[in-house]
Amino acid sequence: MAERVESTTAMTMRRLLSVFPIGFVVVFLVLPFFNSVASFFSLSTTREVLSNSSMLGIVWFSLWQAMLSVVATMIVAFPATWALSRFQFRGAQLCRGLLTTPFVLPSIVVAAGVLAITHRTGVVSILWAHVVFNVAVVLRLVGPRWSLLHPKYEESAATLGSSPLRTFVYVVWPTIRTTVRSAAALVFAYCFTSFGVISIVGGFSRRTLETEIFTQSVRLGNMDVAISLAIIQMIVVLLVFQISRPSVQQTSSINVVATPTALNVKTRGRWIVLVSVVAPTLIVTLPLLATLMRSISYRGQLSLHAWSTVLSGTLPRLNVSTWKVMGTSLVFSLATAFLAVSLALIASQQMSGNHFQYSSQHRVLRLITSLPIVVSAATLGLGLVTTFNKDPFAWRSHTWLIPVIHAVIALPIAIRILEPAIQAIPLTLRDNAATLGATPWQTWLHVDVALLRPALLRSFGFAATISLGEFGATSFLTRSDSTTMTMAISQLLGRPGAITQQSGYVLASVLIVLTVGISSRA
Amino acid sequence: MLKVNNLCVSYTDQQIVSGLSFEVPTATTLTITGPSGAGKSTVLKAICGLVRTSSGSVFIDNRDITQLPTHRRGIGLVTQTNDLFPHLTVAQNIAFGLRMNGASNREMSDRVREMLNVVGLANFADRDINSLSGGEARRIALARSLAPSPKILLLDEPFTGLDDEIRISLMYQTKAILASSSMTSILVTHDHSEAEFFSTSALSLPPPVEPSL
Amino acid sequence: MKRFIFLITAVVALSSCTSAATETAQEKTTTLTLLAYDAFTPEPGIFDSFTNDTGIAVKIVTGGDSGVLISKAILTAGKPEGDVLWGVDNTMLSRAQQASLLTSYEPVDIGDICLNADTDWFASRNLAIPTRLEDLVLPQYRGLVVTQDPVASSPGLGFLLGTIAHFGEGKWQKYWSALQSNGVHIAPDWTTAYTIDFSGGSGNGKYPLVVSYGSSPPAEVLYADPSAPITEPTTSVIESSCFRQTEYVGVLRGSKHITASQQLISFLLGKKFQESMPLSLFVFPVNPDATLPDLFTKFAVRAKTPLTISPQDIEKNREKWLNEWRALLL
Repeated sequence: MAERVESTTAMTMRRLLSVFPIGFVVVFLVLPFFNSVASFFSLSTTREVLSNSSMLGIVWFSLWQAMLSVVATMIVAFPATWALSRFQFRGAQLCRGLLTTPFVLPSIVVAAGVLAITHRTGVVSILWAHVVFNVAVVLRLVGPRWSLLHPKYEESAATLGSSPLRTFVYVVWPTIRTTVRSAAALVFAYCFTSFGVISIVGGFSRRTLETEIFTQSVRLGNMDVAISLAIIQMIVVLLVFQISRPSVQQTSSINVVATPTALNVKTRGRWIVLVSVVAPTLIVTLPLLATLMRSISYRGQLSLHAWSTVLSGTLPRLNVSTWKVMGTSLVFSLATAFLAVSLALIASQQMSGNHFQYSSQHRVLRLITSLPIVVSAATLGLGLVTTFNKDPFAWRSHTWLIPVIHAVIALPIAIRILEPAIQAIPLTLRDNAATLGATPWQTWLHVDVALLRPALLRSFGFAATISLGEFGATSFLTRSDSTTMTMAISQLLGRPGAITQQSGYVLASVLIVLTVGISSRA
Repeated sequence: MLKVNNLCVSYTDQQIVSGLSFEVPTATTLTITGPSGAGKSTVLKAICGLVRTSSGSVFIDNRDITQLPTHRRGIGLVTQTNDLFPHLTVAQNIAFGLRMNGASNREMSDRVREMLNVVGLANFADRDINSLSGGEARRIALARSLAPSPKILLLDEPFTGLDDEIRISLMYQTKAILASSSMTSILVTHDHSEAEFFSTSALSLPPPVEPSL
Repeated sequence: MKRFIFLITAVVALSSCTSAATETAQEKTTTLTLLAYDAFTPEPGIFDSFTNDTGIAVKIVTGGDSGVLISKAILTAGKPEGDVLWGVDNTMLSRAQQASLLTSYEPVDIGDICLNADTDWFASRNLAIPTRLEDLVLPQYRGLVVTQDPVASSPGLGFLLGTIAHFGEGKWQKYWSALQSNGVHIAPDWTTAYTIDFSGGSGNGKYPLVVSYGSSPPAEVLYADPSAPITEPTTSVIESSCFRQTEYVGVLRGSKHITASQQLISFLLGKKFQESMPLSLFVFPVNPDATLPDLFTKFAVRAKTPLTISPQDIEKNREKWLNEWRALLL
């Protein structure tokens, strides 16, 4: 293939545009993080940390619980992803919504649900809670790729005498391998840096790097120890991303639109499909049901009082109305989603563009946009507060900083949703648009964006939900009058009194219902 | 009239098209044949500006268009792979080029109806792209390329992979359309019977030079 | 797409409106920023009379739980996020002093960290509610206590400090070993302990004894489910276990409004605000003139002889004690 034509203006535009995602991450993530590192890093402390057996124990525990969590998540998520991306049946949308919802819930809600069932802290509860949170990641990343694989490929493999297993190994797996790997890396990163789940369901003796970073920096004031741990954590996650990076760019000539097979009575293996969806849905939904139950029961009796209180607009003991809290969450999540998706679109078009494959610019962009998953939330939070404290950058108490930081955090996953979708658009479609007289801008709008609509909506939904649930870095920012639903839930659960507590569970249930609604559509 | 002068296209170190020159008089069809890898499709892509030329120039009616971007050349292209836009209906596919030029809804619907009649698929306007048969899809692709009234039409193996019966009827239909619209066109094919059927002039590309190992 | 763009414009317009409003307010009057932990929910409108009398507007900003708040304040000492800080307690006071966080400070409220008991649970089993810390290691109270990790949680730290005050340096370790053999459960924070592990209140956990506050029982009455109203709390406080927590309010070093901040602190210590605290913040006033609401006089516990350790001793030993505790319990 000869070199494709791209006008110099278009090329300059592309280069200029890539400044936005890079600059955004650099200003709002790299700068505050390295400001913390520069102020508190000490080589001797790092050496002490690395020779301290209890600290190494923490690193080891973080590693193996994260690996087990990835395996457990895959075992639960894989059958559901297969069934939901290949078949259409009544209730499929609802199951998809239920499976993706927990991703946005505050850890305390999921953790309380898990504990209500297991009744004990420890590794089993950690794994369950991590599975509940992360099935959504696999479903959202791998599902679209898998559904792109037209059944005709598997059918033709079957007619060539290939067994289902061999078909999977030789036809399906090569197609989905890259996204599975990237989803697994992402799940690993989330579990490795998990904070809320570990501190609540792990029991107090289970410590991971992130919980220890929090303890050392916030509780004990040992910023130097915290920074050493944060650097170790960053290196491990970066290594994992490096390993999971696709070695060969996946070229795709497969159909852009494939319709899932309708599942009817005659479809062979119908029961396998149903079980593949229903079992994971139960595993994920049971802890959520526990939340709903607590919102309507008071000492074993049915009571809808908390529901009527919250729906009449009052949140007990909080000086803010239900509607205000929901409005704040909504505005933050829309702003986050708009920002994150715009930046992710720019970044992923850069990364999937032919000109930049494996160039240094491509690599820098990929590294920078992965950083938000890598950087410890506590370190980032403290970094923000200590960095943006001088005019003209005294942004730390500005309300807009909250959705901006949410967008930084949502960026990596939005990119991971958009990039494969962009790669799946055949180049010839763009050529055709050009020969029909479409300018590059028109081609982008009427071909690229139009075809990316499902992926754009999906990443928009995911970014919005990340904003709804984020309770890490931005919990370090000061706020005035901007209580979100997540904060209100944790405030309500954090006070004695039946109505206060139940109202917390009501608000969590509302959040669940809202998210099921969003996720089963997007 | 289309004129190509000393066209060269190379990729990394390898010359794919080297010093090709030809002319296609107005309202005639030039056929280009040659074995796989001879650079047939690349010639078409270079003419409509989709690949970068290392040297040479392209003229339409004695106007040098070598430096113009694809969308301003007014050259239509029909390819062998079915490249209809999967997110648009048949009518929207055909109207695409007109829409890009800012045509009114009225103009678009008139032209869509006209083009559907030309290719003999009058009732297909609202059909989903995925429901079309192979032959139908080719005819829609042809209609889509003709709709914005290009000065030149490039056809890249448009009959490959069809059943004989459909292929032959489509060949007749295409030839009639080209004639009735006095279209200047180039047809790339590896099939000599197709070439003979269409050509007013013919060009055969030599096999590719084996890269030295 | 268009709709999203519209929304974003709306957001931008909204935020620019608010910042414009504060700017004009600053030109006319002083606006003080009161920095507090997330759980700071004063009575709505309580500052109106202060603003009317003095012309000083009060903007409340919150930023994390008390631990996060103090850590941030120490990291940004001299470039504070506000003018007045609410929420340094006696366990952190020395740390704040070392960082010269505050130019002046005063105690503003007190509260006790005490064991709470699920009275129904004990009544239904004909078991007496323990009255002394020593009782907790007796076999009949085996596996009944949930407390919090003192490293992560302030009530957890208060309870540990209480046992150290009660048993004395060098002897508390033995008590904790006995507690551990008797099945004490350690939760990561108050929320988990009280809402998940505790059997009383609205919880349905399996531990009938939880470390909480002396003011938790009145909260249970005030915020009971009205469909099953209660006149008496279903939880009670074990008074001998109470560790005294004192919260301070102070002027942050670097504030440009020192006089105004002093005025605000006087207001916070005045009768009006002090009397509003019990039912909004569930703490006891420090102002002797403030009268307590009935609910507090009846059900809240302010220990007559609380367990205490001086802030200096706490600061000197905290890390050592926590490490020893971790070594014992981990």
